[in-house]
Amino acid sequence: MKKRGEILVENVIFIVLNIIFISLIIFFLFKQGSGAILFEQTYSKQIALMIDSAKPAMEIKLNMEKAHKITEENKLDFSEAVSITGNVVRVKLSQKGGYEYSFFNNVKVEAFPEKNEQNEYTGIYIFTINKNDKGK
Amino acid sequence: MAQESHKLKGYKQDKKMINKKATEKILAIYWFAILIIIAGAVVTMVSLFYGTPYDVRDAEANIMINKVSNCLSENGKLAQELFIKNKNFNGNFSLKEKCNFVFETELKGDAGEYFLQTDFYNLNNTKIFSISDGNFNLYTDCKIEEDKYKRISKCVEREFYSLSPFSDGGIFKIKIISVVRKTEKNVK
Repeated sequence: MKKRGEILVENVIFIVLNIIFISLIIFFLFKQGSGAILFEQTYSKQIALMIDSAKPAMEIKLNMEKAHKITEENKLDFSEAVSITGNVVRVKLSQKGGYEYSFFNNVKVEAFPEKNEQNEYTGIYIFTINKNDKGK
Repeated sequence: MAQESHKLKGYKQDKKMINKKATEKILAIYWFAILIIIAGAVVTMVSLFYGTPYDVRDAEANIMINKVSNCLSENGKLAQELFIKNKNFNGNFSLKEKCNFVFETELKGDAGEYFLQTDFYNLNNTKIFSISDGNFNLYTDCKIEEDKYKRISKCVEREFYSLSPFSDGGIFKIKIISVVRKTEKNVK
């Protein structure tokens, strides 16, 4: 009877260890798939391509809810997430780092986050495209 | 005799138990080795998958071609600015300026990440005019056979037909080649 008990404990430990191992791997996969670095690259390229296709006098709304969540987790203001300097888009979702990508369309772009009546961020970013009056 | 045989039986049973325990230990070591191999493989695959940047150069080159075609042809007719007197092509036509492009990028000290070439053909498929802009060195990269060597830049080639802006009813075939390098940001 004593031996049977020992076997059971060993099995339980073995199963628990396996569950811990699988959980760690799943956690690692989720963490990698929802990382700030990955989304910084995705959003900056998406925004650059969007601006490339745009024409002056356009206003584009981009749903960036995932970016909003990541900035909240990293204690970063959502208004700092996207910045456009010249023809370079910079997306920053964490305190460190950020990703830059350039666009070739010679337009003046302004980017700002949308807010609701309660002055809270909705997770949407607005891009206004205008003619670039500066030298080409 | 009976006692000795019983002792022997007991000894054999003990030995069996020891062997079983040893086998279990060896199995446990193997099991942990397997776990480490699985973990290593998962980490390697994930870092390979997420570490490779998204290659958006094809999309970029296609957008550029769309822009060029829109700026060269309006309502199915070539832009008047492409021509000078006597219906000759304007050699001073700048794609970068007229199509509103900016070729400077975030990459410091680059020689140019874009190249554009537009060739005009008549219906006999004879090239009659050509305009280009950007880093010409990238064009040579498009000549490399992709199945033999890996190209540094992405080359996209598309063509369309357009009418002459004059009443002579001329038809042109316009071939646009767009090249985007940006290797650092799109390829590992």
